[in-house]
Amino acid sequence: MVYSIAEVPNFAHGDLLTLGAYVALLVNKPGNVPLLDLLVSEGAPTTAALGVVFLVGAGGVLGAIYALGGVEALLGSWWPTRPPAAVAVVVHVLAAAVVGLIAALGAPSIVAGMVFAGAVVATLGPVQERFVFGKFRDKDVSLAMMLVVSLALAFVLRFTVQTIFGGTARSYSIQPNVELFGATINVAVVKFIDVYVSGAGLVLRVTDPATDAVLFTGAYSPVVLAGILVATVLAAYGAYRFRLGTRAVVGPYLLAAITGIVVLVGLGGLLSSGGAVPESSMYSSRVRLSILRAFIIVLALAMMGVLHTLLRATKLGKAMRATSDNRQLAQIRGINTERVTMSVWVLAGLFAGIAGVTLGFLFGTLTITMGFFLLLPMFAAVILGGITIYGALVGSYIVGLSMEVGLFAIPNLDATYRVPVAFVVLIVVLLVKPEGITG
Amino acid sequence: MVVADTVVSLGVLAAFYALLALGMNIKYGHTGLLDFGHVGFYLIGAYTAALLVLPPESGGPDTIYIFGANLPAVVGDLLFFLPSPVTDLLGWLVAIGIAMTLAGVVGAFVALPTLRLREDYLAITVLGVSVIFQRIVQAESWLVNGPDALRGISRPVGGLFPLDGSTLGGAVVFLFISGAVWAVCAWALGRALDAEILEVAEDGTRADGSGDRDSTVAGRLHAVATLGTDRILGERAATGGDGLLGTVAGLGRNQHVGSALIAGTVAGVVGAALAFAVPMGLVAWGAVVSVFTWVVVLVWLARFGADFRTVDYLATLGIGLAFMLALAPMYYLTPLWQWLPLTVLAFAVVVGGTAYMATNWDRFADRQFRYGTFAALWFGVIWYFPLQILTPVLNGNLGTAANVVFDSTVWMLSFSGAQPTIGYSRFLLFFFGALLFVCLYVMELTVNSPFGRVLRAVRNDEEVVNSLGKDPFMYKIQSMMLGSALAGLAGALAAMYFQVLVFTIFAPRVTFIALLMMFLGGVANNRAMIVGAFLFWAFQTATVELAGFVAPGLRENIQAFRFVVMGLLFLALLYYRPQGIMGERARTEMGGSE
Repeated sequence: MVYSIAEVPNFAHGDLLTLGAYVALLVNKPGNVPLLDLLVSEGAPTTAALGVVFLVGAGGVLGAIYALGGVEALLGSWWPTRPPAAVAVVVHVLAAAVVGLIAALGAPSIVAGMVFAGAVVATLGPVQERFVFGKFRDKDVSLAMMLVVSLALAFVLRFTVQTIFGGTARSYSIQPNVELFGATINVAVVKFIDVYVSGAGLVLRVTDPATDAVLFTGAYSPVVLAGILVATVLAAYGAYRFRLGTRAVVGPYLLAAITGIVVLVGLGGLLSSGGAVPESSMYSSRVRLSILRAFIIVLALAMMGVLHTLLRATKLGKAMRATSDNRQLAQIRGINTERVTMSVWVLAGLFAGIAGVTLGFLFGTLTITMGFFLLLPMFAAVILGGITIYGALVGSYIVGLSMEVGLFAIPNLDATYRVPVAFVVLIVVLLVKPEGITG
Repeated sequence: MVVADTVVSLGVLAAFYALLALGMNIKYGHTGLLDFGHVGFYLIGAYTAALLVLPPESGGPDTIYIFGANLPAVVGDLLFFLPSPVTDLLGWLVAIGIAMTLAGVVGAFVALPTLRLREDYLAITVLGVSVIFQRIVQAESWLVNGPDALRGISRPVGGLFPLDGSTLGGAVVFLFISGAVWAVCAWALGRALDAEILEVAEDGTRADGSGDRDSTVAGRLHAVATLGTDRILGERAATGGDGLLGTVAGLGRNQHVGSALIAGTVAGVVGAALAFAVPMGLVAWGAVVSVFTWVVVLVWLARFGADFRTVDYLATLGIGLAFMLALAPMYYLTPLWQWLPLTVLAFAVVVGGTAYMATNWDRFADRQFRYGTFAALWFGVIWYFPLQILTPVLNGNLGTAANVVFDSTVWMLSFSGAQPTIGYSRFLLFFFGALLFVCLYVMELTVNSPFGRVLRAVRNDEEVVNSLGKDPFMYKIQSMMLGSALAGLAGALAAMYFQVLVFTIFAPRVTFIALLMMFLGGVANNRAMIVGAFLFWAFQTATVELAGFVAPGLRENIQAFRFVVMGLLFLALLYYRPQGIMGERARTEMGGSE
């Protein structure tokens, strides 16, 4: 979004991720954070520490709103309707307080950390634009100079994080048990999802290896299986035809995909019959998934859904798409491109903060360079997709999948080659079709 | 540790980093190609040189690498009639040459598919290439020991040092070092005089006829320094000398190179003879040469501050002293909470005062750049001389103080042992400096040639180049080759300097540092690369000393903070003075000067 709207290939974006990941440590492990650990006694944060976290979280939200348009934005100028100033201020303060409370009271949950990191980095994104990129753009410097500036900013950010946190590798503390409706659910341990294909049909089995409990068993005879698949395809096609030609927020392909998945899962749940695991099977496989990782997939999908809705259903989103296509035409049409650019930075910061925490969780340890080394796959994804917003979504899935699959597919490939695989994809794309998929 | 040693090692680091920045300058400053993967060619140069110089793998579990060509030994066997230090050096030179060539070739190969891309795509792509190189080195244990360090890179002629003049080898080395230093100083003096003559010529001859070059102090000094060869060559040129002397005379008349070379040779021979024959000869001649360098520096400074009056010198001295005093709390108070706020406050006061003077005082505002330079120089001088003898003088130990002053003045020799010797770091400085000067000279020739003009045209507007019938692509490839070869040379020298190579040395941070040096010195100005590299390493060395005042647990944080400050200063530099300290040199293009 930043690349297409603010016209800056931002080498500092990777370090925004690093910043988000480290900022979440304030919530996740306050005793581990320099200066904050002075307020932590015996591993439990004191009220002072919680107060600091609350203030920083609330400040982040208010700062992000301020970036959208100054004091008027705090009074509600960025809302699609025209609310009275008092109402807007109250709503903003409430939202800030809610985020602050989630961060302070939710400690040390990693999800609270995500919220906190998103809020803080959402404020820091516009600061980059206001004090660095905007100033250089006003001087009308060349593209090469902007690249150098963004690289310099990347190193400033990275070393600022290192100044505060030091160079030792850190990791999150993941709470394995979550209390939900009175039951304790273990979210960190993986569950096994076993699939057996035999002559009698398909058998699906979900087990929890920690307690050896069988959570779900479903057997599908070939006829039932065929029926489910046919129903799914029909439902998806029907939804596609239903929305074809309309300009709704949920377009034909999206509705078809959603309908298909809903029908598949629903029928699969309804039509399953209890069955036993076959002794011999033509094909069997096991997928390992923990609830937290599944949550990340769902979170990513949800965030993309929110972004999609924002882009299609709101005026701001339309302004963003217009500015991304042609900045001057958008200005002629009366769109405040400055405000749009700032909102893009706020969004980019929010996403970067959450992504950083996710990255830290998935990689296990937090290092100073983690964000910068993800920069190449990010650029690969964006360029592969075509430097448009939807292109970036498509490109990132392709690049991400090819990174992981490539490591397994190519024999004897060391795990350190993860980023080079993405880069090879990038080179191929640049040589074959530099405009990208949607460009 | 004697301050001269610090400055010498600073110079060594600055030398090969200047080569790295020079490579970057060729690519970006002269051709407009932003290469964020510059460190990749540095890596290739370093590891190639290392592999060529290492002996074949001994099979131990510690260090595994693909091959070891052991060039110094090979050359030693081939040229068995030459003494072993010479063949050692030759072997290293061959390895460096091969490393350079390989880096250049790889640069061309990387450029081939990527040069047609837009600027930002090119930057991303070459960054990716450098990361791939680093990952290959890290992952493939059979190549260069994988994630572990590649050790055992021997230094050329390392076994000879430290040298005192009494051995033949030592005398020969002293010949080269002192001769080279003398030649460079004589040449620099000549150039300073030339500039003076030009200025005088523009103002017209002065009323008292003192425009004649021979009559100024510097002029007489130059005549002495070149041992009169300048006059001889000048006379010979006027009458049309012949053969070798005529060519040398031609050089002498225009660039003072000829006279400098002859004078240098003579000085070197005298020095070698003295060092070999007389017990104190090394110290004596070393002192003479070192003092000569100080004098030349003073002459250049006097020319630089041509319209400075006493009040200006005193003002800049005051500013330098103020900055030094602002650091005093750090030295004398131990607890962090005591000296940190005091130091910060003192710095704020000094910086604020300087800024106020810069804007409100006429003499300062008109000469901001020179005031800044002189203030920094005074800071350095105060650190170099008075600060080092502060403790002995306060204790009344004047003998030690005098000793320290003498050791600092005679920087050419190392006084850390019982006898004054030539340390290996001086040799490295001479070797790296010689290579640097050769490369600078060649690069200056290149960029002033028609080839260089096409490069600058490509940088400014490719379409024009196309319309004039030249293929910009070929020129860009050649520029990438040149720049990458220079980076490879810097890498080979780095292998010699560090003696141990780890993949973490070759991180994208090095490209950032090269960019910083290039912009700091002045884009498209080759000589400014030395300035940029030296300033960067001076900053690093100064702040490394400061980090020693902090508790060990915080050291890493302070090291990172140095980079933050550097990054912020870099951003400020890019904003307020994008042309760098020295700016781009005005060139006279074909068709006369403007």
